[in-house]
Amino acid sequence: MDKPEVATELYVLLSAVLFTLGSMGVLLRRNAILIFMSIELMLNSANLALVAFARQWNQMDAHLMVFFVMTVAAAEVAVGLALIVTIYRTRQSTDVDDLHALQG
Amino acid sequence: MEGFYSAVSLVVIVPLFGMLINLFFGKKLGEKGAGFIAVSASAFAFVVALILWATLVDQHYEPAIVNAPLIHSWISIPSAGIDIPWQFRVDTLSVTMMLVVTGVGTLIHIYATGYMHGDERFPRFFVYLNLFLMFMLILVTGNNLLVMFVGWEGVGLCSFLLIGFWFDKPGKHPTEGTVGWSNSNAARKAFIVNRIGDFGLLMGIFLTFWTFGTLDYYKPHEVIHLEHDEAPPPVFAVEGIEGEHAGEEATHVESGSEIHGIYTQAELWFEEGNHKVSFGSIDLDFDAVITLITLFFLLGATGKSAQIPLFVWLPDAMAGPTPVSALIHAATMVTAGIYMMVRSNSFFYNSDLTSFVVTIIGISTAFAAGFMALGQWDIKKVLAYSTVSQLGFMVAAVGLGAYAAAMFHLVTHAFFKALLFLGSGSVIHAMEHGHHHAHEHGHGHDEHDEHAEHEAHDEHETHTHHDDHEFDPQDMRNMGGLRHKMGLTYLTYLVGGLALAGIFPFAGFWSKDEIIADAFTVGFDEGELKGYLAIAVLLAAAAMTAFYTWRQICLVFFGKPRTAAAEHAPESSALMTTPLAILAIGTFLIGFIINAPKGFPLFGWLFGEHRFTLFLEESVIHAHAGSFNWFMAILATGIALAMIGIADSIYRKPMPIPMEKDPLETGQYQPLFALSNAKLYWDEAYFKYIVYPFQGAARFLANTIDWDFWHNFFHDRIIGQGFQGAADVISQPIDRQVVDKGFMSLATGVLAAASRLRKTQTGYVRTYALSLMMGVLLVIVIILLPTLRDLLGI
Amino acid sequence: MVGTELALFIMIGALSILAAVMMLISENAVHSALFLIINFACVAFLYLMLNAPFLFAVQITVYAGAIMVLFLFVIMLMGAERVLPQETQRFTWLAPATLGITMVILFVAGLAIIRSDLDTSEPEPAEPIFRFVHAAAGTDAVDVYIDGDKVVSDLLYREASDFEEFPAGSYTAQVVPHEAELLPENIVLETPVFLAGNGVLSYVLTADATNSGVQALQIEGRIDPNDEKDFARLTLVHAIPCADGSTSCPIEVADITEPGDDPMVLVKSLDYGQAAHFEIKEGEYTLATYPQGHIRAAIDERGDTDEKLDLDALVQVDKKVIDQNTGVLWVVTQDTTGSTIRPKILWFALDNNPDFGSAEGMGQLLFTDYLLPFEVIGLLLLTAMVGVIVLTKQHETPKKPRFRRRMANVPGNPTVEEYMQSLRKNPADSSGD
Repeated sequence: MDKPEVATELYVLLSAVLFTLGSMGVLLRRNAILIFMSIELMLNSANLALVAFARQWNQMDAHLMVFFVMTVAAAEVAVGLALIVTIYRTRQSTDVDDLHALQG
Repeated sequence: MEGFYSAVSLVVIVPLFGMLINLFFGKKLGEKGAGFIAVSASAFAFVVALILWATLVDQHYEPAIVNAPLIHSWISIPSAGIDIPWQFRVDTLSVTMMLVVTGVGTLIHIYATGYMHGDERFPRFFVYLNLFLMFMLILVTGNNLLVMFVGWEGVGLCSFLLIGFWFDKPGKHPTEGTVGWSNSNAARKAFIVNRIGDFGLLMGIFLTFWTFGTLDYYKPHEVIHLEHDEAPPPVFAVEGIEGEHAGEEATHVESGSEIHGIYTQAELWFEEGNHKVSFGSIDLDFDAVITLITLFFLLGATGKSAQIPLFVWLPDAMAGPTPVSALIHAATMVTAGIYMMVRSNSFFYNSDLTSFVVTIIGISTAFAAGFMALGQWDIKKVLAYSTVSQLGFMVAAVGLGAYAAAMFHLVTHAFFKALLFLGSGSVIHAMEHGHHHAHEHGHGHDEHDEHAEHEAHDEHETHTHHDDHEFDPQDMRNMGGLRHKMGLTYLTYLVGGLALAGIFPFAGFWSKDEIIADAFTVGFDEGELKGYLAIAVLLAAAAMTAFYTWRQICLVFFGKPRTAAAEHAPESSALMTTPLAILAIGTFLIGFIINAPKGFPLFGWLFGEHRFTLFLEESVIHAHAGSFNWFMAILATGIALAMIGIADSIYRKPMPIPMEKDPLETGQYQPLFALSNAKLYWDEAYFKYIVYPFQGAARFLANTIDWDFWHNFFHDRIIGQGFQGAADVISQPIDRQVVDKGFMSLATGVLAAASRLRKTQTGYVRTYALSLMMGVLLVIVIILLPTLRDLLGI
Repeated sequence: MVGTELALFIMIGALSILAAVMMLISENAVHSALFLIINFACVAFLYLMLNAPFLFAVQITVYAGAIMVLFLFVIMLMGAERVLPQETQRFTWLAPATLGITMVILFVAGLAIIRSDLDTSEPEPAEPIFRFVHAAAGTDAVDVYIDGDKVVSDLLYREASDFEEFPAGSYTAQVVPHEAELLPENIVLETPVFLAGNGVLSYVLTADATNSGVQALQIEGRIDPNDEKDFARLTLVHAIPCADGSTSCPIEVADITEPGDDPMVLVKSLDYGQAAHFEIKEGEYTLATYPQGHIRAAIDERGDTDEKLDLDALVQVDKKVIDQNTGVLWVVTQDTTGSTIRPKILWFALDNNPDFGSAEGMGQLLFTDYLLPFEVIGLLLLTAMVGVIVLTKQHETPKKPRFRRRMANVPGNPTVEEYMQSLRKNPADSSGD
């Protein structure tokens, strides 16, 4: 293998940026669906880091992990959206700030 | 012949079995059977006493100590050095007592079968009588003070039981006193007053034990010879009781043994003169200790033998049946004190102070009781005070050191006083019969008299006879002219009365004059004060004795019958008159036969001089025979005859019907008579100064101290409320405020903390997400810490 | 000078960041979703650049194609594309806090990454792989132990074991008959083994030169893809002990598809125990193995005539299609079946490992090492499906009001039923809001 042109660190840096953007989205948006999408963004950034390192270490195990992460993310999105739909049915709103019934 | 000594245990056992048989089978046996058993037991005991006397004579009056069967080692605690065996003492003194007790006792038993005829509790009476006999014999046959004490207490118990025999009849023969004692009260009074005396005796016993280390009169080794080489005596079959051993004898001589009997030891120590008895840190002279002991014994004697100050129970004891009065309160029990003092003559002889006190007590009792007897109406009361007075004579004799005289007077007095009592019983019986007889026949004369009686009587305050007219068969004012109706009774009574008055040749003459003679000796010959006092007082007492004796005889037997009852009084049955006759004969003879004094013509030669005294001297160390004092004898007899003459002149006249006042009540002697009739207000004084204060003190202790103070104040307030107050303090301020608040504050603190912590649960997802992010940041920093450190150059 | 790849990376990376930021900012949920799809696409491209073509495809398919579609469906369903009415802003402190945190994370991560000790210049070498090939006639099934660990079990004659990955190092391999214990008296062969990174080794067990025992020949293979197109790699191993006990009996291999023509010699000289690699064009061949010099001698003997060359083949291989991706290992050994000893060629595929990032590689890993997680994830998916259905099921309760969609799904609009009712009441008045 020859030395890759783009250093692995750059990919990881990019992954970090995307991750922070995703976390900002989780914290700042009030729409539940948008929060979900931000979570997906975070997952994606993690996947990117994984693949970068797979190339670095020349092992395909990380690819497998990415594969699994995607699968689980899909399942999670399905269930989460089902929850959101259910909540929306009762409350007619997707604002997470409306969901504070468990307030202590 | 020695073997018969062991029979002494029979003298105790046989009355015991007689009692048991009557106790369990009395009802079945009926009057005849029960009476027969009781009389047989008593007679058997008398026979045994005779045998013992014969044995003694045979053995030259050598005393014997016989171990009791089965209970020989009675109290034995070797580790404490206490050994009080139950041993019988057969010597002349105890045999004398035994003979008197069983002899007179048997006659009275026979008399009682007649007297108590028809009583519903007939068997019980004889149970008590046999029980008494047993205890009295234990008293006189014991070899140590504790056995004597067993008998002492026992006769006290029997006295109580017998005085109160008619406990359910409210005072058949009521005693006198402002309160109005009934029979059971009289019994209780006797017991309680005796108890005081018993206390004294007990203290004396304790001191004796402390001083001498033993209570035995004499130790076996002091018995000079009583060797017994043979096997133990064969089994005695006694009245159907099988397998019972007769007493075992002390069989060996312990030579060189240190411990002596108390009397021997006392004599030894008196000889030494400087023995000291230690009581812890105090050492007392032996003389002082003996004085103390004898004073305590004296206290006991005053209780049992009815001396001043404890004589007050004896008049009340007349509430019991007449045989009881005769046996216990004339002949036997009351003489226990005399016996005890004579037995302890080694103590009394050497204690001058006590002897003086004893004399004083004796003579004052003799005088006071004689005085009280002058004004009594009740026939038995006269005899009761007479008994007290004669006991005073005996005690005075003991005090004067005339132990033999005291015992002699004891024996003679037993005879004639029992005779007088039994005679009075006969009279009373006749009066009752006559009363019933007249009442039934509805004599008009009687009714008139009875109504008059009814007003005149002041003795039946406390009890009511609904249909009865309160006729007192014992009141001498209701009697009169009985000598025609009851000839034998009259004759025997006359004999007894003359003996009591001390008229030659009846028994009383010899014994009373011996006492007075000894008093003379002590006074004039030895120059002691007590002798002088004794002479004067005893002569006065003798005078009074004669006076009231003749007064009684006049009132009862002479003159005309004053009531219908007296008119119809029949002579008593042979069962009652036979003992009277026997006793009368004995009274006549016994004086000069057994103890004719030295120097008296004819009688001494006929019957032997001072035989009784000599007899006693074998046991009583300090007994001595005095010579006959002609001067005092004539003086005393003269005084007695003079008093009889005076009484005769006063009372021989026909008395008014109904007789309300004593002839002496009118005139100048009225105050004296009143005083005598009121018994010197002795009982009243006791009540006022002793009983009521005692009761008041008891009430005070019970109500004020025990109830108010201890119960109400101490228990309820201090302990009860104090405890409650403490509990309140603990529960309210401490438990509620402190403990509860503490725990509550714990709970409220948790609540407060929880409510504060609760604020973190905002319920908003975004805050949770933020905290998540912060956690992530933290984790990143921790993981990258080394790198960061390098980067930042830390 | 920035290389192509780097420039590409920067562009795509910037695009993805931009798309992410737009996604965050956008008020319309559908726009956010679309921006997210752009982001996913960028990431997919990055996967491609990272030699993960399979993941590139999966990313597009699953993320952009399934997940985002799901998102969009739900957004549409719930009408969340509209701008929500502004309510009282809560948590006004949240934005600055978030910004601060993210800045810190970035700073920390960035510093850590850039200044870390990670040496990413050279990719790590792959772990060596090896296999054992049983070409020793006369020996039955064997087990192979490396340093005491059994790595090959029940290796029959004329078979090759699968490639085993093993950490690099030098070990001692012991061959024992199958199911015999690893005891010194059982060892058939003991030989040192040296494994180096990126190594692809085949250990061929053959009869040794004296034809008395077994020896292992270490044959290197290559797993990197062919540079030349349509050319296949072949590896030939001379494993026939020399007939008369000599130590050297080279052979040569030639293609004699056309018997009349001159055979094309592919391998000129291959001595016993040696391996030769050569590449030939794909196609059908008839390869023959002759003792060395035999062909030249045959050609020389023919001279210039057109007679067919009559060559006595040492071993003749029939037509074989050789394609590019098949790394073939020929072992010329002897056949002891029958009464005579004849040479025989044994074919062993020397598969190239699948390309890095390819589907085959994924599949290889997935169905061997990661089989269990694979199944579990499948179960998870199943559960998720069931859960979704259960969660979103509407219970038929008469009292519970049916979900009534508002007209045009605008809050404040009447529901459909209300609208219909109003229509019935007042047919003329058909205005909705």
